[in-house]
Amino acid sequence: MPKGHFLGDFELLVLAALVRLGDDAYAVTIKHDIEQRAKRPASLGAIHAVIGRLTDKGFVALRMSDPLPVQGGRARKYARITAAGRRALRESTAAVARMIEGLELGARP
Amino acid sequence: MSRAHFSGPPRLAARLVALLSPAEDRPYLLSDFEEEFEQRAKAAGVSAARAWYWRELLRSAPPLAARRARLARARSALDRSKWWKEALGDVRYALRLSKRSPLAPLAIVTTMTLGIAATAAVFAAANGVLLRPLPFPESERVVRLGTAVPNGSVAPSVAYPDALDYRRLVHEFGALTLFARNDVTLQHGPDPENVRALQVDDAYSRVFSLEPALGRLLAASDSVYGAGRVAVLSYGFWMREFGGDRSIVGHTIRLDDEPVTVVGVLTPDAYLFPRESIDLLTPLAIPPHSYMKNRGALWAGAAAKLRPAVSEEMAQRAVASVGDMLSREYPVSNHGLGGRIQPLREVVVGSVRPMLELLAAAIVAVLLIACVNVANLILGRAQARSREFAVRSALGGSPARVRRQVFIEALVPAVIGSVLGLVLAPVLVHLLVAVYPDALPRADEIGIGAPVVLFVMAATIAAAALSCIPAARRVTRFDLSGDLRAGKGSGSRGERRASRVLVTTQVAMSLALLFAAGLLGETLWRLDGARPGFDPHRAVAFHVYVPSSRYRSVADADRYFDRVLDAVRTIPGVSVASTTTLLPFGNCCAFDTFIQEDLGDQGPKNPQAFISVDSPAFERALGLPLLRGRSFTAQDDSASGRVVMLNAAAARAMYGNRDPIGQLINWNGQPHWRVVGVLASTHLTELSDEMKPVLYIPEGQAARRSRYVVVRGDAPANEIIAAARAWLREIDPTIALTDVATMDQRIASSLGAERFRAVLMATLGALALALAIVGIYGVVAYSVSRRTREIGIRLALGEASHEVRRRVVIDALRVASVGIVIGLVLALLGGKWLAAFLVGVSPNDARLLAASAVVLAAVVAATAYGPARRAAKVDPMTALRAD
Repeated sequence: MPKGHFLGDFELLVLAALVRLGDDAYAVTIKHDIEQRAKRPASLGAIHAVIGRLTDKGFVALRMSDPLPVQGGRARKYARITAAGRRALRESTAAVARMIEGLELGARP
Repeated sequence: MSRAHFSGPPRLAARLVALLSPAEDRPYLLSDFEEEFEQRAKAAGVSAARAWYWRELLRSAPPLAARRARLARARSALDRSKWWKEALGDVRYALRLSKRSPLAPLAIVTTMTLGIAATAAVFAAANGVLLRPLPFPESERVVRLGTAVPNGSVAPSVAYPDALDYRRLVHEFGALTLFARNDVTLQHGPDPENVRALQVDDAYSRVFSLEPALGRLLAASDSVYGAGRVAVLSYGFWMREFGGDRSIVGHTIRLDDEPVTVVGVLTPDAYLFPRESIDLLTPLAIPPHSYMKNRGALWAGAAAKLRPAVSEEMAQRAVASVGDMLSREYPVSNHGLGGRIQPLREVVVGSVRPMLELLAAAIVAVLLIACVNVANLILGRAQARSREFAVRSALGGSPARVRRQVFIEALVPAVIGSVLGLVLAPVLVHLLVAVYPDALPRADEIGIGAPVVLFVMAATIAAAALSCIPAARRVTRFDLSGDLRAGKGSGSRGERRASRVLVTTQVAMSLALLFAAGLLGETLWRLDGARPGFDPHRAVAFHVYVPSSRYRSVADADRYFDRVLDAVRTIPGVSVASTTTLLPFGNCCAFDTFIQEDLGDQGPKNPQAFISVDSPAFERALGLPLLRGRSFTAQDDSASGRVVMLNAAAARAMYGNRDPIGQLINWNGQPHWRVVGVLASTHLTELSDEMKPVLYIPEGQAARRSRYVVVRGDAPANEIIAAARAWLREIDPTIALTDVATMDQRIASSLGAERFRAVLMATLGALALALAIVGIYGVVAYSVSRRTREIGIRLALGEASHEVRRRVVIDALRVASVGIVIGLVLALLGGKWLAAFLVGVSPNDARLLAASAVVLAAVVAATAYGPARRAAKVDPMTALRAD
């Protein structure tokens, strides 16, 4: 497996968020999901950068929505996980799981 | 101030977000920021939301900046690879095009090959000889020490006591070495051999950074007079003479019939001065009561290594002040003498510099003509394809893109040509070294190395760039619709101007080269016809040295020469044989001062002359006319009154119109040498020299061990030489006969430099002319073909065909005339530069200038006549229908 296919920590979180959010995944919803579940700060800039990177790797496909013709209608860049992205997510999390299996890591926070 | 603004996201922060985000993400990122801001403003108030906005901006900045940098890198890599892909495509296209119409590319490649090979060879020579420091460590710090003499020149030697003072007083010198040539005869193998030996002191190896490959170098103790005789062999001599036998160290060899112990062998890369071809070094041991210890006896060569950080000027000032001090302290010997240093490299290559500069200028001119030709060919091709370029432009090919294509089409054949040129260059270097008179200094250092390859790469790119300029200008400045519509027209004004520039340049350059060749040729012709002052035909001369080890006294040596002369006279066909110590075009030169007894001692104004010590009948052997009085006879010996002869130059300088016969002079500390005869003046070393004064002394009154034997006879020279060699071997097999040549050969080889220059310039001139003919033919033929329709109309309207021919030729001449005028100016400028090489011809010789101009005009007319004839044969109907 080429080096680029190993997911970084933050990439993993973003891909997981994409799976959960389905069709409604864009930077703001992704940010909320990560901050609520993973309890980790996720800046909009960082999310955009990571989505860009994952797109380059082929793990994410994009869909642009033009501003809706209503008050407050927004331009949004929706992201969707691809089959390759799912595979990468599966393999990376499985690797983590295998690595920590049986380890005593102390009390959960 | 609206409320919307007050409740909105901070403007500056929003602008920064826009600035930071990659272009394609910008609207979405801004919208995302705004959406989150609004949610937060609703939940926690505007100011909290604003604070969040700023914090979020700061958190977002690093990943966004990283992302942008990454995208920029990827994009520029993409652009580069696209550039290379396109350039490669251009290369492929150029090659494919060449395959389809190979004639023009072939001409370009050939022209470039010749131009680049010649340029590379000359650059290699210039680099090896002129630019690189001498090949030994710290060579740039080594200077030669010489003596400035009253007539303004610098003698390449110093007096021994002076040298010791310089060594003691000039602190800028880290080391000062003294040396003297002292050739010896080696007995090894069947025939004795003349060996080039140099006597040196122990500082020599420090100045020239010598290392022993075997054994040791000379030590200070070796130079003590009376110490055991030792020698250090050069590597080449060791290999040649002793086959690299390592056991030679510690053994004795026989030099001048005396045993000498070999103590060491130098490394192969040892640099020896004053000649690199020195065979062995022996210690410089000075006998206690020798004249060598006199001040005023300038016999020692001297070289010094400057201390680090001492400049040439500093050392020169120090040397000059010591020299002044010496001439004040020893007015008798040192009056008017001074010390002078010169960097060693200048001493070694000084005389080649103007020659190589001349060569370089000529080659650059030829390369320029070649470039012009190539430019012409490329322009022609570009014009033929103007429709293609117009289409490319119309389809959106940018001017830069089209220019690049033109450049690459010029570069491809230029690169091929330069690679072939580099292959050819070593051959030319060999040729250059072989044809150079009396061995180009440092010739073995000339090679095609990295600097040459770099130079050629630069020259290739420059040549390609230079030669595609007209075409590039042409294809990016055409009239689009005109080119798309028209096939062949009569040629635009720009085109005509471009080809005029080409023809002008070529004509001007070739005219200048032709004129230079003419000047040098005339010089050679004049010198070849010059009379040396004696009859060189049917005379042979060789050098013989009789060592004191075998012939203890000079009288013994004299008897040896008598036996040799008696034997040589018996050779069939020999009419005269004699000896002299001053052979014209042979060795040079013993020079001395003497006193005219009618004027008395005039100190520094005493007459000076070359000294020639001669046997009876030497003037007949040399074919030197006796103008007045008598010559030497066998009776002029130590028992009879001292006699001398003068040459005409000396007689005129000393006595003016008075009769010199019977006058007395004081020479060599001896009074009353009576002048008995006057001989014709001769050139001594070069036909271009003025004839200098010579004082002739009879051998019977001042015998010498080192003489030239001169033999005149009707038998073929090689038979005389073979017979003489046999006789010498029979008389004494340990004595060698060296520097064997006929007098004709000696004079011819003295003209080597002139012949080299003339032949070289003539070759380059011819090359330039040939290239120019090709170029002019191309331009005229092309312009005629563009005017086919016009000519057809003229013919149809009844113009005579000879009129058409005349018009084409005159048009060509009109264009060439500008080139001729510029060429004449260039020729005059170049002539000034050549002045140093010219004899008997002025650097702005009107006759040669006119001749060059006429030749060029004739060549242009003849070249234009071919296309003109074809133009006149055009069938009007075809011409009018065409295209």
